[in-house]
Amino acid sequence: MEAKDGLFVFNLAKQERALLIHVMKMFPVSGGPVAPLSKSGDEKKLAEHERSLTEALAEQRAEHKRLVDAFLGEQGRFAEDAKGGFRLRLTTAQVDWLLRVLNEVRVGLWLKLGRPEELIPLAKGGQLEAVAAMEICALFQSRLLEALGGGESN
Amino acid sequence: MPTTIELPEVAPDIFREDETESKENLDPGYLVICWNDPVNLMDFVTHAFQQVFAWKKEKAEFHMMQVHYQGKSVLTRETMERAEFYVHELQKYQLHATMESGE
Repeated sequence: MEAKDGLFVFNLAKQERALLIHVMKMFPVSGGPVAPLSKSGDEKKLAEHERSLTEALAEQRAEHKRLVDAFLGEQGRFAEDAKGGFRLRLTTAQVDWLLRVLNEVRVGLWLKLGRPEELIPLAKGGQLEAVAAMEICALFQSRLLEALGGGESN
Repeated sequence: MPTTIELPEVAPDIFREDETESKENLDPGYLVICWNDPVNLMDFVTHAFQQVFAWKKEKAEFHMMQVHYQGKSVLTRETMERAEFYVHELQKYQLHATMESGE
């Protein structure tokens, strides 16, 4: 990974590019909030606010989906290098966006799996594909966060 | 020979406040709380706190560690409107954030 002037360049092997595209194409996974707006309080009073949260998340999801489609459909988004790999150029804002997309897929799959504490029993129990996708998301998230690491202390 | 001018003595105005709002009478507001979950990466939680609250990394990491080891962290106390805004922003990062009455 190279970083200069707020631009990050990630070097991806062919298989890595395929995995990134695979998990990005899964977006969106979840359909609602990860938690209620409040754990306590009057449910009736909060109903309107809960709706507002659901709408805000749905709006963001639709916008991210539009951006995912544009990202994957963009010519030259993954520029091939001389070694048969690919170079992915992202701005700081795009890194944050991609982190959110990958996390939505990861958390969305986790919600679909019933919010498990441990993933290994699920992988052994017929949910290998979902668990693998979650781990692929985490792998790319870690690389993106590592790239941001130096520049986030201010 | 310079003459010395005697300046009048200036004393600051002192106002006495007879009635002050006791702490109990202030609006308790709403607490924005982030709860632990087994799915969000620790560094991602730190990143989200930095983005949402414009915190320095050290402060964001402190609250992330509280979430991780104590199960939750009170991130801020705000008016209902602001607390709701922050919960929306945190949930947009898929964090388990809620707002609870500060009473």
